[in-house]
Amino acid sequence: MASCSHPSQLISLVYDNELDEARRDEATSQIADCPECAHRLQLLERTHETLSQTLDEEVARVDFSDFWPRIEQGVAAQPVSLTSQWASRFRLWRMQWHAPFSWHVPAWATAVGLFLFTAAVSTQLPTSRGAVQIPATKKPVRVALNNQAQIESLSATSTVLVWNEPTSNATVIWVDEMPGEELP
Amino acid sequence: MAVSDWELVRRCKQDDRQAFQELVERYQRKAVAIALGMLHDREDALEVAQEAFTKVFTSISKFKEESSFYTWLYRIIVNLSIDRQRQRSRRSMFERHPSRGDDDDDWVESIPDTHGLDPSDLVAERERGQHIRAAIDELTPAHKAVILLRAVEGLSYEEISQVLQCSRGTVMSRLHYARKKLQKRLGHDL
Ligand SMILES: [Zn+2]
Repeated sequence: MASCSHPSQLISLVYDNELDEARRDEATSQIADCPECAHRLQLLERTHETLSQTLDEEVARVDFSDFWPRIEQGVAAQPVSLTSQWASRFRLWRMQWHAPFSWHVPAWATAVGLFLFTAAVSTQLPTSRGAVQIPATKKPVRVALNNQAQIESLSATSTVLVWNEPTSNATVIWVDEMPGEELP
Repeated sequence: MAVSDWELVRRCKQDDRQAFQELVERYQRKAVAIALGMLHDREDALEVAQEAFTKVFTSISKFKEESSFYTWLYRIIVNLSIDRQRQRSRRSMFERHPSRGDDDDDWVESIPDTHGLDPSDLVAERERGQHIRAAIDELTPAHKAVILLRAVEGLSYEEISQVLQCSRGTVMSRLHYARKKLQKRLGHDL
């Protein structure tokens, strides 16, 4: 057989369908009239056919009836870590919502949320000027809003006074276990 | 219409065993074919394929849909097969592998359909089978993997490069070498 100048890689690329249409057409026309290339191409086909046939026959003799049950057992015997479970759920959640954001967005959102919450709470706290000053010596027992039962039970043993503070709009219950002392 | 691999993988991530079973049944034959090609031992091949599927299930949460499911599965099978082969060669330094013999008894039962075949044809067929198997076994694991993925599974160069984590050029040169070696070794058997 006269030796040809076509690279053997070209035959492989044609056979494996790894060339784009234009290059494939060009290569095919180049090797079409070359007996050596035709022989190489045939040899490639036969090699692949032989291999796949051999493996197909071997696989055909395999009994797959026990294949899945054994995998199921293997999977059941695997320990599942809680972190990986949660990680996979989170990944799935991101995947389902297509995650149109990256990590820094939720981090910023949390930071801003915390700041707003802190600001809201601090503005609601009574200032020292508006707060009701309770002298330490008077031993106040409890401060509650409209707790009638509590007031009645306390008034059996102590002096109880209830009034409304106009500045903070809070109800003050004054309990004095030593009657006769001066009121604030 | 059959459910896509991607959809089954998505369901597996939600711990759906039925979806996993469907994936296993879809790929079990292909998985065993690669393992058999790599290892030439039915028991070893079945064990490797089962181990690969178990690995798939336990690490499915890590699987990113950047590549196809089967390239991921085949990568696991090829790697496990190479590990198994190493273990086997270490073991065979001390004892011969019990399920394999030099006579390759497997090939007695391997002749597919003996009905209507002349006894001399049977012998010829058996000998040819032995030659093909011996030729595959003589390849290195890397060359075996590349030719099996191309000839048996029909993967493209790009997919093979993903499975074997090597360049497209490496796939081409390994494939070229494996084919040449097989053709030289098989000669008239082709
Ligand atoms: Zn030529």
